[in-house]
Amino acid sequence: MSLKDLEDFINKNENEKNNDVFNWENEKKEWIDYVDKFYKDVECWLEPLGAKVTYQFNDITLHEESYESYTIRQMQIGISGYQVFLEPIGTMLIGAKGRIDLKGPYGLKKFLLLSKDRINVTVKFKKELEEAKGSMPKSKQPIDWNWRLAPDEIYGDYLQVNADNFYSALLSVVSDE
Amino acid sequence: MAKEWKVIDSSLNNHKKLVLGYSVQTVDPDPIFVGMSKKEVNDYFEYLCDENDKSTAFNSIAAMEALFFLDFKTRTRKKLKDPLSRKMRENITSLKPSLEKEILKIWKEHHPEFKSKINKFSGLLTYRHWFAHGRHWPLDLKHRVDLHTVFKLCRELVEELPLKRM
Repeated sequence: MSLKDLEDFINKNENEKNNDVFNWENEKKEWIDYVDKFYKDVECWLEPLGAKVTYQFNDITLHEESYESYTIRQMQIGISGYQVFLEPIGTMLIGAKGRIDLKGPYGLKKFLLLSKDRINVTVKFKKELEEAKGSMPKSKQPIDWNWRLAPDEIYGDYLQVNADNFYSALLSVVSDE
Repeated sequence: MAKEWKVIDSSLNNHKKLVLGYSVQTVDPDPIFVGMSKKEVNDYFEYLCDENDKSTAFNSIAAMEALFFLDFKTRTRKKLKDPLSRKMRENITSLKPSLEKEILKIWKEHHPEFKSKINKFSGLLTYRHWFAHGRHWPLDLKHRVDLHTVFKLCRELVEELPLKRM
């Protein structure tokens, strides 16, 4: 392979980035917004517990695919002497728009951002942009994404997250019973 | 056994490419992979390929072990007259002889030209025991095996040793 081949490769990738059907900046902003909305829901669900539960937010850095790293908030919850973390994993995932892991001393639960109606919209990885050129995602209507709790079994149900199943998830990661 | 290993290894690598080729946020991919990042997909398939390697290594060693036992049974039941067979009949009276302490020991005494390879095979038996017994203790680095080394050694033993079969 010559220097020219390498330069052509670099230039091709730069051009694809500039002509991106998939807009990373918009995608990232939308993902961060969904994470913030999730945290707002969690704050509401924790409110009835008052001073028995504390929480704070920490900035973490995520590195995804070949995109630049970015800062996002992690939520740290203090409960019964344990520290539990709601940690965003990313938006460049298989079959999901995003994922937040709930990590505690006794386990891990996953919250996935899934399309409510399972509309067949795809957003391409960078390497597939050539195929995607000229074909916008099937629907330009905003997709209704919502947070769901990933099942423990592979073929279980993805339940929409609400106060009750959030409490169950939280209990499961702080208790060994 | 090498062919079967290759089929599974190729299938896993092709499946990995298929999964990694899924568009982000594609609906209805295999549920196993929903929510996984690319790194997690790569790690998962690396684990599966490693399991394929480990299982195949175990099966190869176990098959070689079986050949030694079949050889022993053939020599003793048919009362073969060569020195190795005679020694086995004289020295091994148990119905369940020890492969390492009895059978392989006699092989090395009567065929010193194969001693090095037989010793290498003996070295693999620690891995075989660990795998067969559920891997419930940590395996020393020195007993970890490389699949292609196992294939090569077993092939050489089969081709070079005068193993008998009924």
